[in-house]
Amino acid sequence: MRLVPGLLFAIAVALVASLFAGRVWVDPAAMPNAYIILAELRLPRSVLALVIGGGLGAAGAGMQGYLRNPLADPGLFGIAPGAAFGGVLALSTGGGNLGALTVPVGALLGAAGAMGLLSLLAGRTAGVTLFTLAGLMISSLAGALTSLVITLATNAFALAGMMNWLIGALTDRSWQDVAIATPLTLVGVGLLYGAGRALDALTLGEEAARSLGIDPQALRWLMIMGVALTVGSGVAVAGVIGFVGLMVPHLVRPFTDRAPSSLILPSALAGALLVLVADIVCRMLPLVNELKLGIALNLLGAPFFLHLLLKMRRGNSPWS
Amino acid sequence: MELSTRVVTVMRGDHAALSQVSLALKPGELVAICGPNGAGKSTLLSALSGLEMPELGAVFLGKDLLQMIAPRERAMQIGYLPQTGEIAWDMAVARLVSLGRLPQGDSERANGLAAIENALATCDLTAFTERSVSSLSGGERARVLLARVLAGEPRWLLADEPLAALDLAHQLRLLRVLRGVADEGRGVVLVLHDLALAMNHTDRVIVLHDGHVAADGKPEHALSSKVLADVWGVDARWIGEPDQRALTIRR
Repeated sequence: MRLVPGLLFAIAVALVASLFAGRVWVDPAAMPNAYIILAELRLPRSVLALVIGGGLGAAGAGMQGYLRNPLADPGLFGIAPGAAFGGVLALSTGGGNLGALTVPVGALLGAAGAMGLLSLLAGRTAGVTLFTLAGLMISSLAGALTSLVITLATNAFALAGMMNWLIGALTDRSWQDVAIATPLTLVGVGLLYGAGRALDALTLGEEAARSLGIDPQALRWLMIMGVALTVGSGVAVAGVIGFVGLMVPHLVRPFTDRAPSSLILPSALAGALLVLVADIVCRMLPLVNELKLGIALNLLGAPFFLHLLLKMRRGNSPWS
Repeated sequence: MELSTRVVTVMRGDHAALSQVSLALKPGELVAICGPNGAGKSTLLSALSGLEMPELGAVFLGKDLLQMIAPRERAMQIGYLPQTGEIAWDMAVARLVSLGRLPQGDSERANGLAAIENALATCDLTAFTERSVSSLSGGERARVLLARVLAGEPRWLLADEPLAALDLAHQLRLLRVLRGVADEGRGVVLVLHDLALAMNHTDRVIVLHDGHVAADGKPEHALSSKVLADVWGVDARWIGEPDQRALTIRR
């Protein structure tokens, strides 16, 4: 399989480009403090883009396999809105003495809360449909609570801070953010990868999967934990970044044998690449204020989703 | 190894989908489960496959309680073909069939590859291995799904209406494969709606009615005119030679 080496190569190229590209094109030879800009500003930002994108890509591939639906997105579990609520709440209350950790910790707690609520609502025996509906319910609940916190904001600065954070961006990130997101995302991707075999079995439906010895409850836990860790840690350090989990598996699928297990790692790599490249483009666009990554990916993702829907309506399978 | 049920009762709410069903199935036989809609046929099949835990009674594989066997071990012994025929992703035929080796986890090793190849050949799919399943006809897809179960080399093959939605030629083709599986000494249990297929092609018919076993035995006995009248409420009789019987219904 040449897909994985190809993606790794593209990531390496994009990573190098990302260090030099930006509002200011850094020429290490000509600029005195180039090292500081590269090591403390651009490198953590690029690494973070890779980590978040990788997590979202893997989560998307896992979710599509789990729900057996190519239009599924990790957002369906309600984890991202839950994390967003946690983050906004932390921003509004100040979050005690946690300093720079306030928002990430709040968001992770929000993700964990959504996760707990989801497993509670879905119960012991719920099928995939009920489970998804529970996730949607959590999404709208978390969305409403987030709006509530925003409307209760007492001053304009806090309000702007929340709105800014919610949109999702990678500006001004530090190594600390990398240290928070990386281990959690790696564990999450590992769990999703571990679910691959069971996701393959689900290709044949829930009954057939069980007859192949798959334990649906164990699989559900793997999925909840995997998605919560990858998506939750992504929101915690970069706000809500949508559509990556939906788009990436589609772009990767034609290059694989289409089994869900074959998609997890390539989707992680492709997600990392997509977010990194999108972030480079955001930095380089000649706008007065930098285009937010979250907005850019939504602008890219929404037409992509429509394209998939139209393809389905024409009766072509969205598989290909 | 026998697959047997002892006074198995499965509840659906207040209603018993299966009520005190005791059966012993022997390998090497082609067995049909027949009965009107809602008689409990699919429930019996999922109880036999270990997917449904009975409220009362127990299912045994040999001397072992089925629910005590680890799911993966059970999956290697009992292959189950659900009615839905779902295929979520447009894989190549060989890849889909390889899913049958998931319990063994050896779809890329020699043993598994041989089993997959064997299953493809048994189901007449050797020419299709690289085709994507979306490009196949309904009958071809049914064969692919059967090959998926056979790739696991289970001792028991349980299939829920595998012949429904197939045309006559495909039905006969699939029945030939299933007969071959039984002749190899494996057990084959099918839920069948088409009584003529059950009559002419199986060794034993179990007739269910409201969750009870209404008749059990050789097809000509289990599907006698009396059973047809009692269970289906139709006044019908069989005509023609043995193995080529047809059902005529009197108005």
